[in-house]
Amino acid sequence: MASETDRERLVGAIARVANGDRDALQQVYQDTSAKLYGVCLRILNDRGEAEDVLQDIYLTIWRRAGAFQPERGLSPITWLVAIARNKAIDKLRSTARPRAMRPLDEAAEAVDSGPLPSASVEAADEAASLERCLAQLEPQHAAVVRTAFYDGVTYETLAARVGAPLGTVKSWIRRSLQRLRVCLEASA
Amino acid sequence: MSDTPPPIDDREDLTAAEYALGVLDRVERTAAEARASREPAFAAEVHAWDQRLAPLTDAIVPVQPPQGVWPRIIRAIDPSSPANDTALGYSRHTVAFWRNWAIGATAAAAAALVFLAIRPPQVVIEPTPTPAAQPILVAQLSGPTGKGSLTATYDPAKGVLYALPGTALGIPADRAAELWLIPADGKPRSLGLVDPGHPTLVKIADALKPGALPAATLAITVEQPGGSPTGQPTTTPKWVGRLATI
Repeated sequence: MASETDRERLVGAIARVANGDRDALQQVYQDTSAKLYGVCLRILNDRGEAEDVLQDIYLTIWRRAGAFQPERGLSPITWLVAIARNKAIDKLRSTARPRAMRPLDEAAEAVDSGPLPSASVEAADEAASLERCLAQLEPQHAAVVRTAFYDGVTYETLAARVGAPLGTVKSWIRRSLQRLRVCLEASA
Repeated sequence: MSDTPPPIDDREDLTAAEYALGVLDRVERTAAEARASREPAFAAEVHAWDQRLAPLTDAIVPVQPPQGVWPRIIRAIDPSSPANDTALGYSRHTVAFWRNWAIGATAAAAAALVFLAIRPPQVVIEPTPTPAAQPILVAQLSGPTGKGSLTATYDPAKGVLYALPGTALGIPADRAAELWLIPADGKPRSLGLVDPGHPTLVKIADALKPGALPAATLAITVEQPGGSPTGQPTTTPKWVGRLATI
């Protein structure tokens, strides 16, 4: 499995981007743009907007690569995905155009019980722990957490989709986040 | 033990978690970002949540972006860059790379990388269908500060656009709100003045109808009473939105 070399390769490329190496940025783009574009499309549901945001994401990576600190325990792909999600969510918040109403994600239960094609033992453990901790939540609360993550929508939008009062949905999410943290810290 | 529910503190500050999850509104997000840049501990908490939630990303199927994006990035970094320096070939490595990163995804989802699927397989949303020949178009115009909004609906059967203010635009009494249509050529065409307090019906000139309306942008500028004397906007658009099919 070449996963650790992939991770190290990406860390190395980001470090070279921080030094103004355009070829390194191209390598980061080749390795990660499909994933980040997928993230943007999922949140924005609009190819034109997702393309604009994708461009903005790599310009941000170009400028801010020096801020990435792998020693803080943040994986390089998590750092890149966080930039992508935040840019896409900012775009979503700034364009109040009507969007097709989507139902809640059906992913309330884990889709896979077979062996995981894991990048590393550690990453597979993290994924399994999160699934286990999500499974301990009320199924509807877990579904709302997943929808919030995948669609990047506000409490208000979530409340409208669920058909529950805003305060109720807020309380579900906040309690779910607290429980997830306790559960994940216990399994770390 | 996970058998006993953990004690829950309703007053706990969960802003970092809420920011990482993505549920904050625009104002709250801006405040959280400002806080992250001032408070290293808060920034670290956001990163910790990014890492905790990261496995959820595995279910998002990668989609190869269009070829034109990379050249645009390179030109934005270096406008003098020659066009032939910007070609980007996707290697087989790209696919292998994502197969390796697909931590918790199913084998089926990993295989789907090569099929350029748009969404994770468990998501039920269908892609927006191809619009019919004469679709109703809607644009939601919003301001940069979130202040004021206006919904514009174009009825192709009647050739009219209804401009319906949502929240107050806050146009000074001695100024007028002028609505502009900006088609793909980027050149604004005045659609006339809109009443910032009441619905306005705007007739669309025949010359603008075919092809120009879908994907066009609508914008409102604050102009002198009677509208822009030049036929072009004299101020920066305050409210902007793109026409799209419902």
